[in-house]
Amino acid sequence: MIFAGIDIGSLTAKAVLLRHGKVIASHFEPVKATSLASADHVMGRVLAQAGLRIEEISLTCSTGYGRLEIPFADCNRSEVSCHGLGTFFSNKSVRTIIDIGGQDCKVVVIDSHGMVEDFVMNDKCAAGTGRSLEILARTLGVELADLGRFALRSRRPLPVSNKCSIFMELDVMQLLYQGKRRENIAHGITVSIARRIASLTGKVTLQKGICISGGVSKNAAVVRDIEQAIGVTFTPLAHDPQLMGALGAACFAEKEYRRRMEGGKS
Amino acid sequence: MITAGIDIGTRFVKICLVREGRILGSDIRELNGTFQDVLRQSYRAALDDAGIFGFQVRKKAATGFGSNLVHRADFVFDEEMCAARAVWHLDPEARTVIDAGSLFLNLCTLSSRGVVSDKAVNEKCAAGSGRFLDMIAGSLGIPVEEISSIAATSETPYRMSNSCAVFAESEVISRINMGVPGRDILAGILIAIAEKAQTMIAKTGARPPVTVVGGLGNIPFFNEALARGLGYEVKVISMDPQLAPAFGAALNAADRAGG
Repeated sequence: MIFAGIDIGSLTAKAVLLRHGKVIASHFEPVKATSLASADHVMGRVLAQAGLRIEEISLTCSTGYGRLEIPFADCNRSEVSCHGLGTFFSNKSVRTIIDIGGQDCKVVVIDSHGMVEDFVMNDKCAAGTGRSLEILARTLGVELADLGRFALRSRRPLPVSNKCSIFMELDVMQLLYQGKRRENIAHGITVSIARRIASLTGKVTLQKGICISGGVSKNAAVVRDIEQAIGVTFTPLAHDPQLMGALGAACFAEKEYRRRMEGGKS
Repeated sequence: MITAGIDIGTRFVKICLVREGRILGSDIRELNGTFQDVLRQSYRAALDDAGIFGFQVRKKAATGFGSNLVHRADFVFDEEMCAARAVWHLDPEARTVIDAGSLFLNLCTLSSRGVVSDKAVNEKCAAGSGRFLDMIAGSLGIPVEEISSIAATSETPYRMSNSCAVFAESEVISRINMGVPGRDILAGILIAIAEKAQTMIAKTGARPPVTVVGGLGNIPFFNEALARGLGYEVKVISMDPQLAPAFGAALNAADRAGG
């Protein structure tokens, strides 16, 4: 039996196929004009990877911003629940997840079954999300991927505000006007983002087994600075950290399938 | 004695050359490219505008967010000290001055002798800022000079649901694509900025009359929205309000230099 999970985020669409508790295909790409177009495309890609047809999927679950706009999804779950369960699937020792996406960041605490116990989320302010990193990389005149590389080369972060993306941009511009080194400015940016995330983690009781996921978790400098800011070492995950939402959705698809089989109702 | 006031804002350099309380020449220039080049060009342009030579300028004063970047300044003054000095020079009746720039709303109250008694500045959040207005007018293709007259034709100002400038920008772009008229969007943003200023006025217990300087002072729709919210008149000064802090800096420099 095969289960599919689709996660339509603000910037990236992801899909995962599960068979017998194993990931058999996964894919992510930038979102298209509509959630439906994104979902169609990522689903097509994972089916092609696994050499399957859509009829062979037992059940599909969707999550993310666009989760309600996908007609071929049989059910949907919130991003928070999916991130919790997906990350738990990837590493059973995880109890706290720091997820930094394109337009939001959240801290999710889960129990020993992968179910959400507590969470806190920032989706009101762009500071500390992938979006702010994107803006600041542009201001610094480097590619998003290079921002982290630059920051890793620095030992002396320059002060950058951590209040608002636009004010952070202003600080970066001032540092550039002063002729400061790009490496140290980049480091200042990653430290500032890390402080922002650390202040969010202060709002829940962190449980041991902390990991980081979402697109920003691929930025090694930000990850290093968050580890320093909150004083932990992150637990590694068995799968791509950007796929946790989709993976969780696939796990929920399987749960939903069993529920329907047992309960006999849809 | 001729003095220079150099106001380094978050978006523009403003320079004012002053003799005996009167403006001889000025320049306003957008900050892009190399900062020191822009500053040099702007200073040169202000000298040309005044028809004087550099050596005739006795003292230079810097103010604004980037005042620390002006290496050759004789004095560095706080923004509100400069805005207040300029307004009081032109209108001794003034009691509250709001310097409404791109990212900062600087507010101060004046005693009857022109001494700054109270001051306040907005939180570091770009929601409801001149900069945000600028970003949106840019994506609408509306030049700054036309913002006010276009906003004035709005009958149903559009109120943003996002409170973050970065997210609100995406919201506005999708609204524009859905056919919400630019005039409603601009009017909504201006009203939001006026409300932010009004909240600051209420918090500091500032007294009327209120005078607006800074770039937003050039937008009558903003002044009117603020006056409507406050329930009393908002005054404008008899010079380009965007130049007022630079003018005040030059006046302060003359005071300090003793003449």
